[in-house]
Amino acid sequence: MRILLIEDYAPLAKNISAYLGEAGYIIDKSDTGDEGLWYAETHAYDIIILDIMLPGLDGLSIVEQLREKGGDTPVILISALETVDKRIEGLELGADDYLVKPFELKELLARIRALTRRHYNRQTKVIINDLEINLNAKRVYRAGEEINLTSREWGLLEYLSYRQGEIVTRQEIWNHVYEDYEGGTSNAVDVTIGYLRKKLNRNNKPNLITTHRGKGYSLDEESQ
Amino acid sequence: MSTPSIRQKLLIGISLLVSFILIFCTLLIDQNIKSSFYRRIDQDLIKVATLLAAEIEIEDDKITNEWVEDIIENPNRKHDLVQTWDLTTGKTTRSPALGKSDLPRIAGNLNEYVFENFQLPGNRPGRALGVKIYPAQDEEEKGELKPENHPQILVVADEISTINNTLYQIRLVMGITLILALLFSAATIWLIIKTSLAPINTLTEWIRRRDESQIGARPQLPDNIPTELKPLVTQYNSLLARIDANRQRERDFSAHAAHELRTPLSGIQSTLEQLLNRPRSNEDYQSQSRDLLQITRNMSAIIASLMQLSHIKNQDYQVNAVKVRCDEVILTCWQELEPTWRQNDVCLNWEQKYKKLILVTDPDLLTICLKNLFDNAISYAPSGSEITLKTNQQDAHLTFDLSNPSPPVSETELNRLMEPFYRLDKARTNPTRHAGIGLSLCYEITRQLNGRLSIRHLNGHFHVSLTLPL
Repeated sequence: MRILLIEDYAPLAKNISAYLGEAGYIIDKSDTGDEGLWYAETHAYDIIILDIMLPGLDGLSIVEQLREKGGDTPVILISALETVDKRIEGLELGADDYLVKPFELKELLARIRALTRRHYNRQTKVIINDLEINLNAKRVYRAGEEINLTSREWGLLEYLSYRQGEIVTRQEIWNHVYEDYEGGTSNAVDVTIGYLRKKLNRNNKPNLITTHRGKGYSLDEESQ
Repeated sequence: MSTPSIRQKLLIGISLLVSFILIFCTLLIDQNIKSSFYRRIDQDLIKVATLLAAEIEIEDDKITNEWVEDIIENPNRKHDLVQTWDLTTGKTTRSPALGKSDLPRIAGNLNEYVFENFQLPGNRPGRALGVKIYPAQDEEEKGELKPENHPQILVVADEISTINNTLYQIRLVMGITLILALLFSAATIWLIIKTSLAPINTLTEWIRRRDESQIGARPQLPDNIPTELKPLVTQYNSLLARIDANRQRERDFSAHAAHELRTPLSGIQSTLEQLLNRPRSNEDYQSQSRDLLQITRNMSAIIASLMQLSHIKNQDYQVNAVKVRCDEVILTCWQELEPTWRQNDVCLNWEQKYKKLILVTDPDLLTICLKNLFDNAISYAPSGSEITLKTNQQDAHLTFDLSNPSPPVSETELNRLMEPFYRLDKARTNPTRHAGIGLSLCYEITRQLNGRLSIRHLNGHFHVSLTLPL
């Protein structure tokens, strides 16, 4: 899952980025409002973490502009301003959550997960036939047996599970699961899909990841 | 001590005034009526006296009172009350109605009428007219008896029971009318006062209904507020607006102070949380600890500035004025900031008119002030630029004019720059260096030192001018 972090206070930005990175998220950082808005408008993110007081464009204006243009990426505002008015203003402009500095990083992580689930309309557990994906604990079971996944494989399965039943293009997978936007996408995604299928279909279990030729992949109950 | 009441004061005051006027008028009317009655009776008495005086004559060298015969002969006059005294012989003559009683012997100068109330027999009230006259004498009958040698006192009187009764009736009616008028006036006054003061209650209720959130607002005034109370309401609203502005400034101050402290705190907390999230290498621990130390130092600097500002603002600081070599203080401040101006590549151009700058002031406060002004100028001057200090002594004042190249600053921003935590850069781009307290601190220090601090933007330069009395 890819997160955009727009925060000008360097020590905090560095720690949030490191913490979420270790939790398996891919983080893009920006320390000015204008650059942050450009990132948000030109790239696909699952969550945007946004400071209110920023050089250039402030956080509230960024939310306003994003929502005006139809962007629905969940936004978590972070600010040292704790007044109720500011919170209300931020939420009314279209932000989805508000955290007052200082906050615990694990609370931020929990809110990111909750917002992602809400955004993709998912529960903490996704069950597809005998496949159980625990999105909070980051664990996968097939017929009650736990399957160990690499960070990349988990990222891919998590993204597919959030978009269960939908065809997800290779480019989308690349944007949300891989570190860099640049470079080739197709082959790397196909390889990871292959590894993931192998682990999920162990012991001749039915395949749950469908390949849609020329389109992409989907995670379905009935697969071919 | 009882609380003074406008209602009571007005009621008592106006009632007393109205009562006084009514009673005074009543007495005046009574006096006029009484005078009018007495005037009539006095005129009648004068007429009678004039007629009777003509009937006291010298005939045949004798004083004769012909009026006695007239009274006796005329039954209509049998009740006439007349008495004369011959002042030469002392002889007195009474009308039959008097019997043996005497009328009061009253008289003034010759032909001067004198009136007097007296008691008639049977305790009946009467009024008498007395006049001193000479008996009348025909020209043909002039003899030895000279009128001027036999002055007479003529007293005529009349009963005035009827007049007194009429006066009493009139007074009774007037008294009752007066009491009713007083009561009606009091009630009317009370009603007028109540109606007039009612807007105060309306206003009180209007004020009572305004909760804290409405302090800064200007709600619609009730319609029935009289003109006299409008200035009060205006002043009250103005006071509330000033209170609200102060409260807003305090809220802003608290919010900004919280922001300045929460931001580094979030840095400390997130660094520690990240550090303890999983085992780290020694290098990681050292690197993160250095970050923590730097954040803590910056936070301490902010807290120290805040404390200084608080002490100086609350006048907890005792100003200790001594002779200070300002030129030396300037050099010391500049030297202490060497790491900063070296890092920012900024140099100082000091246009010094006088070599020695001596001032009687508090050296510690002056140092804090100048250091803050230098620090700001160094921080906001572009790298590689020059900041200029002009020191000048004039009219018992010493002026420090410090300027640095700067992008334009609007008038509104200039007006707010002295407010604590106000920064041109709203985003706190450089949160580790400045919290926006420096200029406020300098402003408060300058006030304590009886000086003046002004800022302006001119020709691409931001100027701060500090003026202190010698």
